[in-house]
Amino acid sequence: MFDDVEPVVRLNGIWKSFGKKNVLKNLNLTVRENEVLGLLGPNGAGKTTLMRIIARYLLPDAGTLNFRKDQFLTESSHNVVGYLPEKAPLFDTFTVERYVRLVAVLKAVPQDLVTEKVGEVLNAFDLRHVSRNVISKLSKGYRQRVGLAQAFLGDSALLILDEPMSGLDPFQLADVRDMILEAANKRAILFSTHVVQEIEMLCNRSVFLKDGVLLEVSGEADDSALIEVCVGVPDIDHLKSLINAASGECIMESKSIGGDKYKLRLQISSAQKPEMSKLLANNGKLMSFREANLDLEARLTSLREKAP
Amino acid sequence: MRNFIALYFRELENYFVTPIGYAILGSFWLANGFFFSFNTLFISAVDMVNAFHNMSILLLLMVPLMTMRSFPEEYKQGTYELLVSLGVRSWVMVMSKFCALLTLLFFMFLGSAVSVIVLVTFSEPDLGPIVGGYFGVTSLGAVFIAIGLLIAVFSSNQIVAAVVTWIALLALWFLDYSTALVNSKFLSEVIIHLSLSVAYLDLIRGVIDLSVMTYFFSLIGFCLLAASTVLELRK
Repeated sequence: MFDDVEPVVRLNGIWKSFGKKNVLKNLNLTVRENEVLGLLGPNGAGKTTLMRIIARYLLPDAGTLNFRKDQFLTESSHNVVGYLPEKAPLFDTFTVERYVRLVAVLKAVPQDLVTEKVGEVLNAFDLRHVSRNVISKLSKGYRQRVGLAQAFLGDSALLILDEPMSGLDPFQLADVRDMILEAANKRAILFSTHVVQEIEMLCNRSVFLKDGVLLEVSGEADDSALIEVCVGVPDIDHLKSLINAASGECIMESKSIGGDKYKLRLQISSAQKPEMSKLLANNGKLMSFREANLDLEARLTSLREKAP
Repeated sequence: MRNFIALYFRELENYFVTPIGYAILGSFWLANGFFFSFNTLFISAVDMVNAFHNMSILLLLMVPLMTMRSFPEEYKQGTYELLVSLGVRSWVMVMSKFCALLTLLFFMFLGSAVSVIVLVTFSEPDLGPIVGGYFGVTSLGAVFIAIGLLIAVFSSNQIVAAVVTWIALLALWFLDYSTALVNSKFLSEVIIHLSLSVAYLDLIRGVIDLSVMTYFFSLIGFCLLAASTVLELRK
């Protein structure tokens, strides 16, 4: 179903080694427009190295990296990537606003749009009230938000987020999930995480990386998924009508689990998952959102056994 | 160019939004003022030769402290990774830091110019050697900074960067001592020419020797180019 969608970045036969250790082995991967691609894998699997190569922090030893129809390895390509490394890259002595402004300049945001674009991300990540605070004085969660703000800044066609949810409190988590889903309307997103639920809630497709080898876990192959949802909502009928309006008659089961909390089973396509989780989060308190027919965690466990 | 300007001002700002810049300037001015007062009041010297000598020694001690943060701090904070992903070229990073440190050096010397005002007010010093001397010690400071930056790109630890820079500067300073171990006259002459403690003797008297300047600017160029190349190779 994605075959007709233009790839934002395509990696072919990527190899990368550090010393004698091959970290990535003949890796092929495509990230497409408007796709949220989850990257899973155990520690040391090569996820960060892969992201660093796409962000052009590292160069591959062999293989090609193509951005849209052009070679990715050109200077102009940098402006189309928003990158949040594993540790938020912050200039500690700067204020939040000064830092984001500097990144805007380095991202070649036109001079007359800098204030507007900076304002947009400060508002989006609820940083306006700390915009004059020095970054070194911020809590871990706020630092992560500033890191996310710099990554989302501008009109990057591809967002690379290395464990973007780490250090965020539950409220911030929900906000960032919404931001990622909203961003996916106009950009491609590649993000790594150790939390399987995040993949289930956000991704159209996920890939599993182990010992430098990439294995696809979900995507085009499982076009249909049975999703189990726990949601808190005062008017379940209204929510059901919204779900049906968005995805047709997809509610397979609905039952109350006490108070205004409900468990729903939805039969939807993989591509509809991000939109559905956004709809549920916007219209109720989304407590869980996971595949019921094929448990991703179970699949990952089996892949871990099989992978070389 | 836009990236260079943005990073140059970021570097400068970094010195002056923290106490680092003020500590460097304050301690340099204080030490310089003390030595100048001592020379004028107790030795009755009405030139800047001793002052330039003292400035050179102070730079030898202080430049490693100025350059040690440059790249190790970027590596530690992860901002180097950000800058590379944003397409900032290695030479832009190196030159922005070099120029910001030169600017700091300029302010250090600007404060020391109070000594010149005192000299001009109370005596009739020859201004030619003074101007030449300032040019000389600025060149010497630029050499120290370039060496410090080259060493800093290798290290992710500030202390290691500072200590190795001190060792490198002292080695270059006292290079002429090694002629005692060399039999070849030609080699001895080359070593003496490369020794910073020999080269600076003319500079502090305001004598601008073309061969010394060529050596200094070659050394600066080599160090900055090598630093950029090392950054490229990190990929």
